[in-house]
Amino acid sequence: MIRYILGRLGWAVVVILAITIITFGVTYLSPVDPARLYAGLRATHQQYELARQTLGLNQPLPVQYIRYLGRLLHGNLGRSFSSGEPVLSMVLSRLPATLELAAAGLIVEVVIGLPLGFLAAVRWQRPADRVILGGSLFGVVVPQFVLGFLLLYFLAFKLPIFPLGVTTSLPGLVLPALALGLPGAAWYARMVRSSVLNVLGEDFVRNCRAKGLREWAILMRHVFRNAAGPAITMIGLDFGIFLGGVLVVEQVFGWPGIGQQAWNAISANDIPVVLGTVIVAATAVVIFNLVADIANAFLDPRIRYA
Amino acid sequence: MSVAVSAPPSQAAQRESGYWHTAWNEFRHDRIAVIGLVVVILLIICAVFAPLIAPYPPNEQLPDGLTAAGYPRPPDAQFLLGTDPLGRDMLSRLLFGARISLTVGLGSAIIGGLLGLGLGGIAGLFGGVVDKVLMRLADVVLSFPILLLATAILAVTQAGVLTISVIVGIGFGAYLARVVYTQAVSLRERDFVLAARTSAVGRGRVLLRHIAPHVMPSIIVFCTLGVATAIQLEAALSYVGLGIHPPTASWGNMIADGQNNMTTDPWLVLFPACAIMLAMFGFSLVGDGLRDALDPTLERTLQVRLAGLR
Amino acid sequence: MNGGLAAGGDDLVVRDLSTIYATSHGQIVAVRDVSVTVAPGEAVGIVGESGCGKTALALALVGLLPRNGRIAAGEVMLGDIDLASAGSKVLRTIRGRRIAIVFQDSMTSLDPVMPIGRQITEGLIEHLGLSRKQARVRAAELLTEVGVPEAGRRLRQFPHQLSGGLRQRAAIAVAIAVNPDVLIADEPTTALDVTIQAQLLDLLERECRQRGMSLILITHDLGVVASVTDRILVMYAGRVVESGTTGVVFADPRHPYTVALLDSMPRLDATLRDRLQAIPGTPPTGYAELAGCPFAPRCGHVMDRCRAEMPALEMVTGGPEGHHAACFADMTTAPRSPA
Repeated sequence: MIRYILGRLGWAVVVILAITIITFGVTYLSPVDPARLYAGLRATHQQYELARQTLGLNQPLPVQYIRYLGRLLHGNLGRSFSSGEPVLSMVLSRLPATLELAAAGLIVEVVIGLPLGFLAAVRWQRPADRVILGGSLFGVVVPQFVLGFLLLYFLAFKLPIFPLGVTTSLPGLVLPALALGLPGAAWYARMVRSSVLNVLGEDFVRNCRAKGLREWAILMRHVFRNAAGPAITMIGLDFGIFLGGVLVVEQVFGWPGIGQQAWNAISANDIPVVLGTVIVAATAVVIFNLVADIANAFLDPRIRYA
Repeated sequence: MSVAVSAPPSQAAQRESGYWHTAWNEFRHDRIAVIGLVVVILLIICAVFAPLIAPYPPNEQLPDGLTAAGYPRPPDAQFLLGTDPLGRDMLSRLLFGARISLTVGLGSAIIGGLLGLGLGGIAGLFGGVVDKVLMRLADVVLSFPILLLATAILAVTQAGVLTISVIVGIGFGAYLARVVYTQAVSLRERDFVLAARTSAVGRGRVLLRHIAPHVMPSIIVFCTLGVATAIQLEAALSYVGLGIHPPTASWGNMIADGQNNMTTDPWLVLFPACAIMLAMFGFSLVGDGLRDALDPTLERTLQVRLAGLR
Repeated sequence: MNGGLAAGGDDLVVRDLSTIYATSHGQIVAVRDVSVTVAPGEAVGIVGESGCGKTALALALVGLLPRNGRIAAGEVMLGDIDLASAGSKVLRTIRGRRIAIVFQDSMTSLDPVMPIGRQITEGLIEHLGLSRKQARVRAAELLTEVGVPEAGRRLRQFPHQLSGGLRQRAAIAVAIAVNPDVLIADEPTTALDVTIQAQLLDLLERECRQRGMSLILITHDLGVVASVTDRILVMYAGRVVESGTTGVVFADPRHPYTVALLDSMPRLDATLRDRLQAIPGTPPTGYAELAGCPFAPRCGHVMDRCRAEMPALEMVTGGPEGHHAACFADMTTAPRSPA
């Protein structure tokens, strides 16, 4: 198991490095010239060259990358073009709100999706399964941000059940969480159904029946525990897309997280903030995946006692 | 005691049907899939013939596009789906938005399909270092959330239909490459591939003529479902301002334009939203139907393996 | 506890059992008019190639046919109860408790994420009402009995941590834990080395004798049945083609298929020049309704009558009671291969 965890850890590092390469590449290719900004618009040619030298822009590419990486490791994600604040503190200050929204969305997704998926698999091809499959199809075709608008219109405006404006209190969390969680639950239910069906088709389930165990016991003690591992891994695998959805939904509801901050920065062409957000968000996804993988290692005795 | 048995099918009749014919038959009888196909065809017609069907130019601010007070007009006889805050006709914009969505969708599906087939096939067939490098690369791309990747790139480049298609296509390609790779690996040890390779057939040809037909069903299903995802991604990107920029109409940026007026003029948001959902709905149904038609063994295998209770 | 207590004394009587599988290509009659009686403590072998219906027969006995299978005709009597028409509730009380099955591949027939010990105690708690503690003690005893050393440690281990042979022993322990009347073993040794095969067969035989359990041993390997069984049934295309005491059938086979099976076994005293006798052709797929004997296309003694008429399973002429064969030919004079 140690080997498995170390392997996953190593891979996480590789992916984060790849992220930094991409953001570095983007920064390098960005039409905005930091030297020009640094030196000022009315700088002379000499001052401009000096600026380039100070910023290390005339160094060879790999060296620039190493310096970039070094800055990242020190927590220096640059400064906002608009406000001049350090990007890292800007992003980190907003991160908790995003994580709160993501957690709420995930809870909705799992609490609704897991039991429904399990039920659909156990009642395979019977009415319950068909209803769940059909219902989940609708969930899958509605993008989260579109659902957000629909919910806002019908449940906050037409029927004033939920607040329309921006609040971070609990009632304000419900609609965005639903907007995120319902399509997610639809997808998750299908995945869980598929995974449980695979387990149900395994030989040992037939053997459990041959032992004369009660159906309930078979499902809970054997099937569920075998399907739990893949179920958790799936949440991890989807988290990247899920977080993307969170960032967009923030814009719909005006939720004060890193997403909204990034989109505002885009209108203002504030590239450091945008890229800083990308780095932080992508790192969060990698960490989440790592945690899910490690959880799976603990749950699956085949990995634990390899 | 004799037991009655039903008549077996004639083997020759089955062979003549052919793979695609049987698949089309299956698809035809799947009512839900056919509905999806109808929707998709309608969308394609709208997109292709938009300039002919649209009552007004999509980006033109029309003289009586706004009410006397300067607000967008609700749906009425003159503007079937209403107008937007700049007095532009919603119906026309939606039709042209369909062009964007479908172009991005199909474009990224094709790019992703080619990338996936090419890279996955090459990796699977050649093995060795090429294999490892390509697959690691694919895994890295996969680990990076596509929205974030798009955000990073689009923040600094000029957004266009091509750029977005390429970015989304790369995301798909990575996923598809993995799928094709696994199939290629399992196929390469089979006799007919070995036979082809030993007969001095170039590896490229082996890929095209022997491996490709086997992975084609998966690719087709995947690309169809991928169009739905691409449409959604493009809408999201346009909505947050990264994708297609105004004044060009995209369903996503139409929602962005209308969101502030949603309470007073809900059609500004609802119609583009419905368009997005309809498009995803259509392609998803077709993709599911294709999957059932092209790979019927999946649920049948389950049928045999699930031991039931009496 | 029930260590030495003999199992229940009912015969397992199967009468004219037929099962049908419904597939996309039509219906397959997997088991056709099979009858067999297994007395308490008796060991019966069911022999045949893959696809002859022996596994379908085993599954049908306990109502474990897959969703597309059903029992089309016949009875399976265990005492007063007809298992073929019993409801699922009744079947559940029979399964595991009175009839237990051991499958071929222990790696897939055991739950990979549950410790071995729990898989044994599960049955003990469910069927015998033991407490968890009592069940654990009993499980350790069982593991030792089936020849798994360090039982206490093994109880907590998972299936993938045991070698193939130990794992199959554990699977046997799971099956015999509640002292069933009948143990069905479906190809229990096929996936194992020959030396371990022998040990496992000894184990099966010993456990059955000690507990008074009946054993139904299903296999394609004649060598396996030779040492363990009292009687054997030879199956082909879903039918019983020959049945009788093991010794008699081996010495005096009366069906060409049985003869061919015996001849195809590699012999220790064969020389390098003696070729292995394979049986030409392949078994029928089971879709078409056949007229005549299903073995006719491959039979070396086939006559015109065989293709038109299905021979009935009848007592052989000049043999002891209980020896039946379904063949028109007179195999007593048929040449056997040398040595």
